[in-house]
Amino acid sequence: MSIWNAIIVIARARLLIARNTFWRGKLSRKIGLLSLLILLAFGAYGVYWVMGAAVRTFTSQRFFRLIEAAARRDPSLGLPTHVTRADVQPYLDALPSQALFLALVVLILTSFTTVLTSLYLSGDTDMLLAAPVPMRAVFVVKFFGGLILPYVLLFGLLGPALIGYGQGLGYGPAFYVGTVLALALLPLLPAGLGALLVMAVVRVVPARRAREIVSVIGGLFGASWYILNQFAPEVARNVGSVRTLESLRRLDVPLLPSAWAGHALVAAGRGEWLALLAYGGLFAGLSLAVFAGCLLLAERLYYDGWSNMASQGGKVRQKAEGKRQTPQAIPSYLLPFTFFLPAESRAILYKDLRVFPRDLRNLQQLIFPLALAGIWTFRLLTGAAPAGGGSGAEFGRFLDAAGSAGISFFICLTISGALGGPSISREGRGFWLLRVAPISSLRLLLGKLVLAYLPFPTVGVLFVLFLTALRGGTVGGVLRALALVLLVGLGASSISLGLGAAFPKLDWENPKQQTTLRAGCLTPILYIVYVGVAVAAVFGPPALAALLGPGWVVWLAVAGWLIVIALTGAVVWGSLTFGAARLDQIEVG
Amino acid sequence: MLDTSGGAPMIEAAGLRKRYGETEAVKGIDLRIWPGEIFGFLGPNGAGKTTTIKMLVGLLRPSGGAARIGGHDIQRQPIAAKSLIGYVPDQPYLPEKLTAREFLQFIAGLYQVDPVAAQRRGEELLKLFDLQDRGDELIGGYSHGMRQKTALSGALLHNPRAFFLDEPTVGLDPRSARLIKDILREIAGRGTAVFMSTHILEIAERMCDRVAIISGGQVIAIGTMDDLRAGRTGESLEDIFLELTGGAEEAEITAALT
Repeated sequence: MSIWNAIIVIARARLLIARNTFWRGKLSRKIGLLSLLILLAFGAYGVYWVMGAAVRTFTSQRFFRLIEAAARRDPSLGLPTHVTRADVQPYLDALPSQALFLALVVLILTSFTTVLTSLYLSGDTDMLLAAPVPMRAVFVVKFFGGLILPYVLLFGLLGPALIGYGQGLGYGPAFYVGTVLALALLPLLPAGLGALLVMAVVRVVPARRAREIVSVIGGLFGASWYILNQFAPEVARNVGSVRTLESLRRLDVPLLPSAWAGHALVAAGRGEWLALLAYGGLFAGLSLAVFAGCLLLAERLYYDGWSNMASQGGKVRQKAEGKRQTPQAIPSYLLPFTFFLPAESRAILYKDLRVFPRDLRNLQQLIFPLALAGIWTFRLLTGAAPAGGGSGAEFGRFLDAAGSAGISFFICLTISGALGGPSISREGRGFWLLRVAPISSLRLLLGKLVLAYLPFPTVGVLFVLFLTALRGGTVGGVLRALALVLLVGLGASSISLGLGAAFPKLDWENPKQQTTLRAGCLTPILYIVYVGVAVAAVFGPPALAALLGPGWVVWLAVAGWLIVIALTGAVVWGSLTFGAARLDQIEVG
Repeated sequence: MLDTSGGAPMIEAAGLRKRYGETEAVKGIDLRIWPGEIFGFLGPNGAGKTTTIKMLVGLLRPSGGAARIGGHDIQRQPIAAKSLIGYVPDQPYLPEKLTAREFLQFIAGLYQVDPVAAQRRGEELLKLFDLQDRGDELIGGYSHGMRQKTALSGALLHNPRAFFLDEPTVGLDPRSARLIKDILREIAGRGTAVFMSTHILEIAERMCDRVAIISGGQVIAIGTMDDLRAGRTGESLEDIFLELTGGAEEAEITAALT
């Protein structure tokens, strides 16, 4: 079979699969997909409209006069006092390069995972690689199959932005043709390099392990980006300056492939054919050369990686020479904390404690909450402690205790949400084991609740004590904060666990799919309602006592705490029974 | 020790039905399997074998009828019924990030087997299935056959009274397949009811005390090999199977093609 024939056959099969998945899928899935497409269409139109309007504004006389007025009012801004179209034009010309640069960076960062999943981790890889079709044909279909989402985003968001830009500047048809070509070629370079890297890595590291490692690195990168954003005011105090604008223009240096594409687009818009040929030729040449290089090497590397993956054995855990390892049923340090659990719930808990840290993709979900904890701790360390003396200071300390509880609670909540929310979904296709075992859904959830709740009595308590030591506080304040974190934490972890169990996804391929849309939407709503009522019940009575008189303080405080305890009991019971009832309805086909 | 004379059946399906939308996959199945009996469940692809087994072990909810294990309705008294069951699916998805030893320990916890007894029995089972030296490897690194053997070890750990196997010999080497046959005979000898679906008619013919043939979601024949042979021209189970399920016509077509 020729390579083209093979590509057509495989691509047609994939299209059929996609068509059948849609037409024969559930109605809710169809509605969801159509809603997403409508949303994307609205987003695309919005981006197109905003970009067109922005470009027309930036080239208008009114905008020039505004800049001149600002320059006269504050000369330190470094703005020119007389502005013409020629002053603005270089910045506008740099826009396509900047947009394409950002897209290129995102594509580079995501290309490894995208290509790894597509080339090696999709279900049909074995069948296709064992079939008598050219290896390059399989590679081409898999390579472009992995690029579908990047292409949708490029053509759905960046495309309309560039078209809006071209319309705003009155560019001709060559610009639009160039835009389509630039977007079509843009992913070839990063994905091609990603594919070469993937094919090399898979020869050494199992594909699944590679994806786990990349997930963690991705999580670390995301957390770093978040931390950088949090400290942006300290790092760059004034970003809205002419200097920043000049820095952005540096992305237009014609050494970057994205700048070649950007220059080519501007040249196409202006009808500068020689520049278009030079820059466009450079960009297209490099992109196609990298892709051709991949294609040449794929014949050998792709197959080698696959056969290496198929022959890799399992990793021996804690191998001890000449000594057989007998894993402890329940570690002794856990027994005092789990004695109240039924034996089968304890087995679930301990299994989860073993499995969770072994899958790096699970740890990736904890990176963000931990980064958040780090940032807040730093902010508290560098912030001012409340001043002492007087009733105002007393109220300040009261609020500070509440603040400590709040910060500790939200740090634990993010960790607990990652542990408990997808707890049932995490069982995946192995859920049948729990379904055939003699354990009720309620006891199953009880075992899982302990894991979801674990951050509150450990991290939460330590955080409250740490914050109190740091910022000072009364014993009463600490006890109140601890009680609040422990009580409301129990309710909140029950909510995430119960909803996660009620709406699980057991056939996920990627851990990001473990949280379903319904669970993901309902959980924060219930969090807000529950936490809002609990906080009002604890902090409302002191305010009310101020109106009714000091004799009411104790009674109202007791009533408030009783409300929180009753509410938490109801939330725990309600969430777990709802989750268990829904879990009982699940069929394992 | 097969005992069909008196007492209650260990596995019972009474008018068991399963409907998926417009399609009725299982159309009212009645079965009774007694303690100590090895029962073969045969049928062509898509006949409803796996659906029936999944309803019997509680993985699927019947659209009608009832499934009972040791007299306990699997839907109404699931815990009591499931504590008697051992089940090995055709595709055993197991927790990939546990080792075989840790997996057995987890199963022991779920079925509340005494930890000391569970450890001793677990080691015996690992040794029996030739997994003892690889029991500290993560299951994710196991071959299909090794996973199958790990799943079997887990299913046997708590000495089930009703043992269900869906295509038990798929993916196993001849030695392991033979081992499974020996184990099934042994546990049946100790009074466990064994319910297995298989495509390998030779296994059913040689091992099973009784067989049922299901086609189109209905049991079309049930009984001992002698019962099935009565009044038929074919001698072997294969002949009877093909005659009952319409496979004989397909065999003629195949012969014409070759």
